[in-house]
Amino acid sequence: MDTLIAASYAIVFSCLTWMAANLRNLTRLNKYLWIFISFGLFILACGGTHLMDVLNLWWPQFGLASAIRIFCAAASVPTAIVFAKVTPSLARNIRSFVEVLATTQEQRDSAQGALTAAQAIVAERRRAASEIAFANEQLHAVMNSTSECILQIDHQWTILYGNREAASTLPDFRLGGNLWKCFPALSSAKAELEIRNAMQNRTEGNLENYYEPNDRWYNIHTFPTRRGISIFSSDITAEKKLEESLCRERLIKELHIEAMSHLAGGLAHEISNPLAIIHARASDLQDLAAAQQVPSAEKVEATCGSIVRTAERAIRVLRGLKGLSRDATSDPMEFFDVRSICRESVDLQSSRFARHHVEMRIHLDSEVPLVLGRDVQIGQIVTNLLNNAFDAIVQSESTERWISMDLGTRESSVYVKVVDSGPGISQTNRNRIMEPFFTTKKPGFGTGVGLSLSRAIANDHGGSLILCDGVTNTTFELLLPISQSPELAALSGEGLNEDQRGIYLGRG
Amino acid sequence: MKINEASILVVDDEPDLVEIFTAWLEGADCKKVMGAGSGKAALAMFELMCVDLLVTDINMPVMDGITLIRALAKADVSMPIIIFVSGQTYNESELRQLGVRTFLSKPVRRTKFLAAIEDALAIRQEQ
Repeated sequence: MDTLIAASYAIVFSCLTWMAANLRNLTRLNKYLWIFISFGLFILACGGTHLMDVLNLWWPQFGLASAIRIFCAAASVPTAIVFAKVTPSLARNIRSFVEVLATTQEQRDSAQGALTAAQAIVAERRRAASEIAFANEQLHAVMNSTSECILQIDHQWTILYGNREAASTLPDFRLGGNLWKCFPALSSAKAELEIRNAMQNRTEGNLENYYEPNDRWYNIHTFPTRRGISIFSSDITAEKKLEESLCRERLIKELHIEAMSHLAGGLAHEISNPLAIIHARASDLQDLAAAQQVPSAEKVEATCGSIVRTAERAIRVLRGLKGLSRDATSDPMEFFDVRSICRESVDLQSSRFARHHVEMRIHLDSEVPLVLGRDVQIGQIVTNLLNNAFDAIVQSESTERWISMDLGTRESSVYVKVVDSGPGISQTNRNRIMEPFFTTKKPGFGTGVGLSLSRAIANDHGGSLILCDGVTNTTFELLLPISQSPELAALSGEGLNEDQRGIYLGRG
Repeated sequence: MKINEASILVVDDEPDLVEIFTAWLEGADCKKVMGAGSGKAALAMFELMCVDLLVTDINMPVMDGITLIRALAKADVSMPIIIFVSGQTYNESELRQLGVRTFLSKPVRRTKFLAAIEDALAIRQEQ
């Protein structure tokens, strides 16, 4: 039994010693540490007395037992005295300590709650940020996949954003740069006005603009935004070129209509007069035959000769009209003899010119090479130039009445020069003479599309139509490039036989 | 007035037609037939001679038929007039007031042409 008690006391001592060791860092309890030690030593001594009672049964050591008992007594007295003395203070401290512990626990619980809430907010924010990032990524993907250039501009005209298309196709694009400095060519009156309007008035705008640095047409939409404006521009060069092509075709058709309407008045004369002559001559012969009168051989020859000549004249007019009245915009490009075209155009009008006492002075170089193009269209240009020259003369009171036509070769071009003795063109009108629908003619003499479209046709052939400067009389010059085709470059219209002409000119 | 007594002026910018009409008139025994290539040339001829009947085309260079007729009316020269028209716009009542008796169109046969001449000369006789 004593052994068991001794062992228990030893365990109690160990516990007290362990507690003292663990509480020594707590400032408020530091002064009570030695009580644990003193009480521990007292317990240890008590345990020692019980152990000695067991030893004395088999191995009597009364001296040691007495010494241990004395030590036990010595330890018990100061322990009891001091313990009694500090008990109230210790009790207060323990209660305070427990309260602190309780408060700390509450605070810990509260902090834990706040931490949990904060963690939830952070998680929510992370999720929202992730969604924003995803949406942003999607938006960028869409903006970068579109063929439109997208720019975001702030109120100071700084480029805040540009999509991939803008960066790759606009040669002067620079993020953070000034819009007008980056794209000085945009400062055309129309585009700049529209963009500035959108920024100032906070309105949407739309315009088509030619951007010279990369030779493209853009359809520009402007939208007001919180920070400035957004500019969406799509490349419409292909559409514009198609539109221009259609417009040119339409205008060329108008040229045909104008040329036809212009000649319509004269046409009655050019055709009806020869027919009237033929009719009169033939009806005379018919009347003679009906009256059983036989005209002399000379009379018949003279009458029939007149009929044949007049019929040939009408045929020449009709041949010229055939080319003039046809829309040749879809004709294939073929090699043709410009000299023949000039002759046909002159033949078409020669009778009219003669009746109005307008002299034709023609100088056609026989060495002019073939030209690649649409012969009908070139014929239309030459006829138009002759018409204009004729109108200039007949509308004036000038005593000089002549038109000259020269055909020749200069450098790598064939030229057709038409000069008239008319009153000339004033400097003001010279600057506008090639504009569509501009005309110096009297009402009924023309709509003013002839020259502009003649020039368009010449340009289509790689050539040009110019009004010459520094000359006394009005001088128009049509220039057509000489083809570099190896087999044809050396050949001229004069050098071809009839079969070759048929092949190269597309005529029989 | 008979055709062989009349002095007739034919005005047309087509020399062949002047020649044909002149031949027709001469064939009908008209002794005084003259031709002119334009209205301006015809006016000059009126200065030199008396004309009983004018045959003119409407569409001519330099001076057309209508301008010629108006100029004659202004100069107080009156006579029957035959005019060839071919689709142009003209004021028929105005021309009739100015003396146009007959409107003809090309082509025309000799018989119809001479009938119009005789008809117009009959009027001239009445005047």
